[in-house]
This record gives sequence, structure tokens and C-alpha cells, in this order.
Amino acid sequence: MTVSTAHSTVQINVPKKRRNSLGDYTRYLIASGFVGFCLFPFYIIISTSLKSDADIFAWPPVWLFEATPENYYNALFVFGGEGIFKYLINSLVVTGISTALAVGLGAMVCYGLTRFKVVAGNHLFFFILSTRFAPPVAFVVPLYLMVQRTGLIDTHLALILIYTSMNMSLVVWVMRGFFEAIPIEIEEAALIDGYTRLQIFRKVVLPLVKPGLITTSILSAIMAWNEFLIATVMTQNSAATLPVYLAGFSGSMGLEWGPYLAVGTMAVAPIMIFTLVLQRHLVRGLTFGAVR
Amino acid sequence: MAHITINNVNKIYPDGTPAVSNLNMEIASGEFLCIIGPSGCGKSSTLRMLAGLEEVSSGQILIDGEDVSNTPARDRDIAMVFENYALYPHLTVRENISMPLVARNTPKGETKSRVADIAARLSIESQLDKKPAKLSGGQRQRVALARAMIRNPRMFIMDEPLGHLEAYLRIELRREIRALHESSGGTTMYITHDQEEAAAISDRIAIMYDGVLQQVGTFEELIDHPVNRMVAEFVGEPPISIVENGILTETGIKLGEVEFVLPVDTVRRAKKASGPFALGARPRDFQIVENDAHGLTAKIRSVQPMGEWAILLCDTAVGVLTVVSATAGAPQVESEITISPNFSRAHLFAADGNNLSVEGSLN
Amino acid sequence: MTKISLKGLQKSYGKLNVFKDLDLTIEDRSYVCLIGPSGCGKSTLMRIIAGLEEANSGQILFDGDDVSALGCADRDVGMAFQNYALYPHLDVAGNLRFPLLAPRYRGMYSKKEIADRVGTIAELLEIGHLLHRNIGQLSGGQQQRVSLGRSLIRRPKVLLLDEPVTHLDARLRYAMRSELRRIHEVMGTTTIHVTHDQQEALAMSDHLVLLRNGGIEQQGPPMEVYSEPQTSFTAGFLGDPPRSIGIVPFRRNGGGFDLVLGTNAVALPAYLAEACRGSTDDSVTIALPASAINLSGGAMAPVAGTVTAHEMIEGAQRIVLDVGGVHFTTQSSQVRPVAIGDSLSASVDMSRVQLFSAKTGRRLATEVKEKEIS
Repeated sequence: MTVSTAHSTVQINVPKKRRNSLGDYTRYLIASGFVGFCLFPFYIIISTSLKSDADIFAWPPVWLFEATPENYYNALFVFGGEGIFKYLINSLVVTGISTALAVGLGAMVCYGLTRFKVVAGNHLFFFILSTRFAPPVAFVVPLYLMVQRTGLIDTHLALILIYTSMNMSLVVWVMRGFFEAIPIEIEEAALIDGYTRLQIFRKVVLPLVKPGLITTSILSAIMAWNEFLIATVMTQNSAATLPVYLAGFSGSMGLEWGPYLAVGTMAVAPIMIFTLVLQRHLVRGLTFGAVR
Repeated sequence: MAHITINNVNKIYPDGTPAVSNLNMEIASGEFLCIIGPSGCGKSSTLRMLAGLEEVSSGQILIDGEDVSNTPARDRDIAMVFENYALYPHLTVRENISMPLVARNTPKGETKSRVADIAARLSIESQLDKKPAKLSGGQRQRVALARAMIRNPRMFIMDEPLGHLEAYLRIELRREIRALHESSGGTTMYITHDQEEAAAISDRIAIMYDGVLQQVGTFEELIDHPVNRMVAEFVGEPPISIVENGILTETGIKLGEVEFVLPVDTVRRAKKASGPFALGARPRDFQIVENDAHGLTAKIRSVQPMGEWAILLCDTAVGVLTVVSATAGAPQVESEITISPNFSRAHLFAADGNNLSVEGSLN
Repeated sequence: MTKISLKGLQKSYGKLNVFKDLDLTIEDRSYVCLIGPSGCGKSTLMRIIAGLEEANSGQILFDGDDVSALGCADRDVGMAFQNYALYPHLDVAGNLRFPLLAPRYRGMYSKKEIADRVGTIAELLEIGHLLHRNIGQLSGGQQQRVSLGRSLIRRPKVLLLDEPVTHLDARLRYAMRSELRRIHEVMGTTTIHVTHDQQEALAMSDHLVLLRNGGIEQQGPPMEVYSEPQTSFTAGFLGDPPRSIGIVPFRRNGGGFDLVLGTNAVALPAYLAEACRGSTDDSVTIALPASAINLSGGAMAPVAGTVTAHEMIEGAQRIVLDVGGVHFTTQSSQVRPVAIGDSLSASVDMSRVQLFSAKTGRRLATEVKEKEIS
């Protein structure tokens, strides 16, 4: 196509619309390969845990097989002597309650510190954050003494209290940015509309910081679920969580791959499901466009 | 001094909505072009595509004959001024202005003298060693302008640069920008929502609506010869008064019960177009005539004096019309008057919005 | 539906003093516009009336009752924010409904009434087709209307509008101005409208209040404030274009006074000379509307100046002349080809001149003028 300008005729190439180039395909291939590489171990664990013993040791490996729940039954009630059922429940209880408390209380603390003029507010924020600076092992002995003196050794409550306080500092720290991102005019509009501060917190602010709540929930849950050191010190038998029990498992009964991997699956599954369900609600930029 | 050609440019957002459709425009070298239009019309997208901040979905943009679709923004030799100044807060004014030269490894001596020169032209010499936080809005915008101008780029792009400033500052700065443009001569594309500013500062104005370019011309052309109803309704304050549902007659148009004569050419074109027809007249183009003279009877609903002139809202049998008259001697509220549009300046719109009073609009 | 009185209002932010001792009365059912340059305190004043900010001292009376101690919700005000402040997690209908769903009003509005009100307001503001859209998908103009709708839906006693139509394009702005007045007429709500657009204030208000540096510069019916400014600041703030303001020297000439405009000495009319008589200054501030300067010559006082700016606006050309250091803005429907630096002569209608003290800015006027003109 030619266009005449005042001085000369210029040949112009009209560029076609960009189609997927070879470079794009290569990029997709490499990305898929990487994802496959990461997910493959999970596939192995889950598929093996569903196989019968015969299938597990078959060579060449069996890809299509009949799933059997035998290993799971074994894992829950037999494995390591008593099965992991009780400890799975303990973990679920402790993680669930401590996460809910950490996020709920932490959000309120953070909101208060962000929105209202608190004496030495910034210093308080830093202090709260600083409780995470030291490794948990530094607190183990004093915590143990406190737990023992209050008679809370080997109870769910002990772990819930400790995990809540540990996670709260993370929640307060992370939520601050989310609360600060809400234009204050929105809360002022709600004040004029007739809502009290607490109602505004519940009905206006919390929906707008949902991404933050979800993020901190996931992080707190992961931390509480995997926590070993404090759990092992504070619990013995009745309130022991999954990591504690699994660590104590001596493995003297030989490597029973089936039940072993079933245990592995169940140790990871709750958190994975929790995260997968919640992350769907991570809607970014909720406040975008509402205020000029 | 860049000559810009925009050829059949389309911009479609990932979700399928078209932001700009089939845009064709030429900007002469050294011209000052304003783009106006309601929010969402595509003016910002056009500007950003020209700057290289957004990709063109199809079509091309030529600067001085060269297709710049694949040229990144920094290589297009364009300077941008934004609505929110975008100054580096941790640098002094001097450092802010020098930044484009420093980035191109300009020798220190030359940088210093050019900074001093541009600061003098924009009256900010006394601010050179301050940080942006200490400056007022008007001063910050001058710094932003200085930073844009210091490279002597071939093109300027300004996106509502005066939007955040006070009325008197906007008037002052727009005159300065215009004066600077006249002395330096760079081609400029300018976006504003303030029509008076667009009229005062530009050589030509392009008006866009829904991603489509409606008309390009001087402000007078847009006011006196709008190609369609959208342009007529958007341009000019107070906005044009429109009487709907006119019925075409042999010699003109019938509005309600009153018949008016229209220019022959207009009637000829109207016969080929389809109704219902609407008649538009600018508020300043109405005359208040004697009560029994030929015209529309109106009852004054409100009189809004705005200093030397006043806005009258008139209730007529064919709708509420806005009329401008001098404050001195304006009729009283509730009084009855007769108004007649100045038909040499009125516009007849077909059902599809085309202006039948203007030659060449698809007729 | 409420008369608002502010008495002795004082407000400061740390060292920054916003109001020292402000008194203002807003009559019941009136439409009041607060205007002023940025930093004059108009937004702060509105927020104090709303209850979002507390004054350091002074009284805020609604119909004679002191509401200073009451929270926002108890004052029954509606407010449309400058940046809309819509609830992003709710759609348009949700935003409009929100004030009616506050727990303190539980039981006051039936479901049907809520739906009715939402429908009526949406229709009034032409957003009925947007009720189920998300806020993020709306244009600026649409958001502004939702914000207005939300402030009106409770039919509050006092309506506070913070730059409600500023971000709209001209057509919508004019339409909304009419709408706001119409709503005001229908609902009778006492309305306080803050704007920096003095044309808007002139067009819309029953009562205009011009604020400057935390004090009331002048207030009154808009045309009165425009025609009879009491200070040079007011004279130069209102009008389109605003009056040309400048300090010019003046000197005695026989029994009268002359103003020195550039190279011309122009005699002051008798009543203005009266006003200057007691003055000991040698210069005075002059204010002149654009329509009083005629570039086509005429029998009036001649002046000459240099062109410093020229621009075209709708149907007219504006030329700014530098006359002895003072910038005079002229406006004419006749377009002249001019360039910056040209010399032009014009004639000034001295009967339209207003004089102010160069030191205090106060208007120099005498009763004589009123009698002569009327």
C-alpha cells in the first residue's frame, strides 16, 4: 500500500494481526513441562495410595488400575500402631479454630490500629511484627512453663492459644495494606448512611478486604497444620497433632508403601483442598474504580 | 515537528469491547490538536496508542511516514504530560527536569544551561532546588511541562494536564502552554474535558464518541457546522436546544403547530432522509420577538443569571428550550414570550443523527 | 427542611487554622452554594456540618438544636462525595438501598417501600437501566448519579453536595444542574452545594457564600454578590469572564480624579470621585467587566495596550490587553486577527468601573452612585 506525502512515495507494509508464533508454542511447551514436573510427585503419591500391593510393585508400572480404599483404612486405623485418625482430627480442630481466631481477631486489631488514632500506633505495629522475628525455638521453654503451670499440657486449648497468637502477628502485618487501600470516604459515606463503626467494619470493610482475609487464612492454616516443634513439646498423646505422630513413627514395620503414601495424602489433602477452595474467591482489585 | 498519520486504527480490549474503531486522522506537523468527547469515547486510548503505551489491535500509526507500531514508547521521541504530574518525589525540581537529558547522557554543562533556560520560560527558576512536595499544583504542572519540553521532542502528548488545577490557574496555564507551543512548535495532541480550554488552546479539535471519530475541525466549525447531532449536543455551553419530532413540510419544518421555513438545500436533503426530524438551535441563536410575531410561544420557567448574561429555561409546546440573553432586560419568570430560532444558524437532524443543514454529511 | 446556624465556629488542624470565628445562617429550604478558591475551607465546613469532623469550638444548630455532639447518622444528613465513595462490593441497586438497610432503621422501611424508592430515584437520575451493574463498570457520570441517588434516598433534612457535577461533560452537567434544582423544588431539602465553578454557583444558588481563607468574603443572592462585590477579591472571582482587576495609580485633576490607565489619564465619574475623595493612597484597585471594554472604539474613555494573549471561545474572541501593567480581558463577537505583542486601542465605559482600596481590597462606593444609577 502506498501513501503519497509531500516529498516522496512511501511503501508501507501493513502488519498483519499477530498470530501465535513459534516462540509462543515453545513457551507453552516449556511451561507445561515445568508444571507437569511439579505435579508428577503428587500424582505418584495419590495414585500409589489407591493401588493394591500387587499394583504398587508391578513393573512396568501400571497406569490404569482398580482403585482400592484398603490403604486408607489401614492408614487411618492401623498404621504405626493406632492409625492416624485421632491425630488427623486433632490437627483439623487445632488448625481450624486457631486460623479462624487468628484471622478474625487479627483483622479487628489491624483495623483498629489503622483507622483510629492510637497512641504510638506505628510502634505497636512494629512491636506486633517483631514477635515473628525470633525463631519459635526461642520461645519453647517459657511457653512450656506457662502451659504446664496452667495445667494445659496435652490439650487442644494450649495449641490453639499459641498458634492463634503466633499467627495473629502475621495477620495484622499483612492486613494493614489491605485496610489502608480502602478509601476512607467509603466508610464516611456509610457513617452518613446511618451505620455504626462496628456495622461498617462488618458490612463494608470486611467484604472489601476479602483477598487479604483469604491470603492470611491460607498462610495461618498452613503454618498451624505443619507446625511441629511446639506441638511436640506441648502434647503427649491425646492432643498430639499429625506431624507429631508421624515423627514418632519409627518405621520398624518395614516400608509399607501403600499405607505410607495414604498417610502422606491425608496429611497434605486438607490444606490443599482448603487452599484450592479459597483461592477462587481471591478477587483482585475489588475497590478499583469505585473512587476516582 | 512530527507529521502524524493514523490509518484505520482499531483498539479492542481483551474482553472484546472496542475502545477505538476505524480511526483515520492526520495531524500536520506543528499542529495543536485537542481530542474531546464523553468519558469512555476512546480519547485516552488513542493518545496512549500514539505514545506507545498501548498496542494497536489493527491498523497503523505513522510518525513522519514511519510505521511506529513496533517502536517502543521511549524510542518514539514523544514527551508526555499527565494529569497527575508524575514527578519524582525524591528528586529536586532541577533533577526532575534534567532527568530526560541525563538518561540520554547529555553533557553536564549543556544540561545545566538547558534546564536554566526552560525554567526561565516557565517561570520556575525560584523553585529549582525544591522538592515537588513543597510546590503548589500549578508549579508542579509547570515542572512537568518543563521536563517534557527539555528534550525538544518532535511530539507532545498531554492527558488532561490542567485537570486538577483551579479555574484561574487553568486559564493562566493554558495561555502559557499555547504561547510555548507557538514559540517551540512541536506537534501536540491534547486531551481535555473542558471545552473552553479546547477551544482556546488548539488549532483543531477532534471529537470522538464510542470509539468513533465524529468530526475534526476548528471550534467554530464544530459549533457552526456539526456533522451530526452528537457533535452538536456535546460542543458548546450551554448545550444546544433541540426540538424533537419536527414534521417536514414542502418548504421547511413544522414544530408543534408552528411552521418555519428552512433553507432550500436543507429541505432537499431532508426529503432524501428519514424522519423523525429534530431541529437544533444554540441558546445564543434564539431571538426574543414580539409576542404576536412568528415563533414559538414560551413561558419562562427559570432565569439563571450568570453575570452579564443569563440562561432562560423556556417551556414551549414542543419541549423545554434553553435560551441565552443578556441579564439586563431579561424577561421575568412565569412571563410569556415568543422565541424564534435564527434559521441561518439552526441545524436539522435526521433520525440517524446526521445534520441535514450541512453540506456533505452523507448527502 | 431545616434551618442551619453556625455560630463562632473555630477549627484548626494543629497549627493550621481553618476557621477562626465563623458565623453562617442557612435558611430552611434554601439552596446555598459555597464557593471559594482551594484551601478556603469550604469542604471542611461541609464536613463539620455533616458530622464527619468536629469543630474545635462553636455551635452547630439545626432548627435551633445544637447538634455538635451528635454523630452523622443522628443528624439526618445526606452527602454526595466528590469522589463518589460508592460501595464497590455492591451493585448500583445495592448502593442505593444501603442507607435504608442500616440496622438503626430496622423496621422503618418495608421491602416494598425500599424497592419503590430505589425505582423512583433511579428513574429520576436516569440510571434505571444500570441497577444491576457493578460500580467498576460505570462511567464517571453514571457513578456521580448513583452517588447522588444514595444521598437522596433517605429524604434527609439536609443535603450536602461536594462538587456533585464537576466531572461531568457539559451536556450532562447542565442537565444535572436542572435536575438538582428540580429535585430541590420537589423535596424541599435544605441543600448546601460546594463547588469551585463560580458559574455553577451563580446559576444554581438561592444564596451564594464566597469563602476565603476560612472567612466569609461575601454572601447573598448570587446576582447581588456579582453586581455589587464588596471586595476586589469577589469582583475578580465571579463572572465569565471574570472582571479584569488591577492596581492603577490615580491623581487629582482639578475638582475630580483621573485614573492613569497606561498612557492615558481617564476622568472618573463624579460619584466614583466622591468615593476616592477621602483616600490618602495614590493608587486604587479597579475592576472592569469585559463587556465594558470596546475594541471598536467609541465615544468613551480611550485606552491603549499591548496584546498578551488571544483565544477563541464559543462565538467570541477574547483578547487580553496589557494597559500600563494591568491585564484587561476583552470579549467581542467580532474576530480580529491579532498576534501577541500587537498594540491595540480600546475605549472603556467608565460607568461600569468599580473601585476598591488598593490596601484593604474594600469597595470604595458611596450612596451617590445608587441614586444616580437607579
